[in-house]
Amino acid sequence: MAENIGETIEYDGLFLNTDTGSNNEIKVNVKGRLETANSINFLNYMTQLIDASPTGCDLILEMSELYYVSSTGIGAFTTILVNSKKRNMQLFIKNMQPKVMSVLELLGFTDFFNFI
Amino acid sequence: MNYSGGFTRLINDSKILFFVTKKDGTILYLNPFGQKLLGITSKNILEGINSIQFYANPDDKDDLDSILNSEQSSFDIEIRLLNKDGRLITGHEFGYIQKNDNGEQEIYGFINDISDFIQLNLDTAKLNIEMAEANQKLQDAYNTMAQQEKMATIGELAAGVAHEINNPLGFIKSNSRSLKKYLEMLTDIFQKISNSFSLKEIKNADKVDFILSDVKDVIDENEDGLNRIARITESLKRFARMGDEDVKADFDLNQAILDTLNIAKLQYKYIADIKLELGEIPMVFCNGDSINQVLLNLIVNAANAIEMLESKERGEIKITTSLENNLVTFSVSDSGPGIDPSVANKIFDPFFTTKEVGKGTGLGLSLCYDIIVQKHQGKIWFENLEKSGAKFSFILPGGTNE
Repeated sequence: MAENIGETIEYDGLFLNTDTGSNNEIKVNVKGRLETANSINFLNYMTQLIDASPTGCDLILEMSELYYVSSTGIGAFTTILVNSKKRNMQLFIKNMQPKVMSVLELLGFTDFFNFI
Repeated sequence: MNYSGGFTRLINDSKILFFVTKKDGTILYLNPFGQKLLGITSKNILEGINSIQFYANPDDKDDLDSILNSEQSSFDIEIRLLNKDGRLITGHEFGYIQKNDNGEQEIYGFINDISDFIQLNLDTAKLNIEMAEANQKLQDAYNTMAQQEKMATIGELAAGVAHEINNPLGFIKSNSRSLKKYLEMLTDIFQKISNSFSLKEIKNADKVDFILSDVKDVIDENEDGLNRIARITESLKRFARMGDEDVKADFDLNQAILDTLNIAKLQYKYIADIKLELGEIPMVFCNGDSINQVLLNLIVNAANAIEMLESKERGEIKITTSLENNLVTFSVSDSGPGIDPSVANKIFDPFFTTKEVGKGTGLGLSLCYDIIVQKHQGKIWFENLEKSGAKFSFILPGGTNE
């Protein structure tokens, strides 16, 4: 995972790019479509990133260019949230598209996440 | 071979929604299961009902439009529908796009209702989040209690520390009075010199030799007392420091044992002798504040165990450190009654205590376990000694930072 920091990785229409940034903050740009087929890749990528990150840091998922999330993708978000809590990290979802947000609302998941 | 009859029966009898729609969403065909799932009739279909009205998220239509306007001839998506009763249906949709005889696009497809499967997964996901949140709250509460336990221990130690400080303070005060008296005597002697007494006469009458030799002793004793006070206040300050529990650095375990014995002296000095066998060990890479807490808990526990014996004989607390297989090992054994085997498996549980009500919180050993095992990936254990008493030991793995 660490060797991929800064590189854009594609998983079947989903593009991920991590910026370790500064001020104890890790930012992941999530672009494209998060579907059943690539949710497991997304989850593996994020799990490795969380395990390799310092405890207590902020994890920001930048989603301004994420256009579709399936329920499996939402399942991946929840696992990422649980894993980040275990490492005492704060997870923030930034700039989520209204269309994607409405899926989270429909399924009753908005209360669990911090949106910025 | 003609299979169309079989397919017709399959479509009519299956528990999968089969459909044909126009590009704008107008439903041209819906199988019986589909009609039942959405809550509509053949009459509704004849009237030209549109599938878009069942989309739970109207934006999903944009996704479909972008597919229809592309070169794709088929698609495979997840879709959420609301039926006539308002029930949310999550479906896995597969569609095939083809043109009819008039050149208009039509969509042939099926939707498999995966609502129960998705709901089960989402419920599990919610449960996992709630459990993670509950765990975090529990950990926060435990940390708060651990800090309170530490401060309570310091409170208990305060009386002992005050006693230890009071002793040297007593003789420092007495010595100060002597020094004041000596100064007055020396002033008087100088006065006599200035009044021309013979030196020999003065020396004999006013014990000048004694004063001069005792002044040095008195000052040395005061210095020793002040050092003792400084040592004990430094030890206490080091112990009470609320540092970051995640920060690790090189730590002198043997010095920490001496510090701990210093501040916990009143806990054991009237009931037990201390036998120290501190080996030559390297610095240990660990969180010093936490390890101080472990040392204090184990040493005070050893003293409390000896106190529980009815015998008035002085007991013994033996503390050893050693380096075994490049791992630093600590152990403290006492001559108390030992651990009742029936509670042996609960000894490191939070809130378990064998002390009388009001004396122990039951967090001491559980904190030691947390610090050694969870925070330092070490090992802590106890054993009953053959004659009497118990021995608690811990190992700090990868201990040295060399």
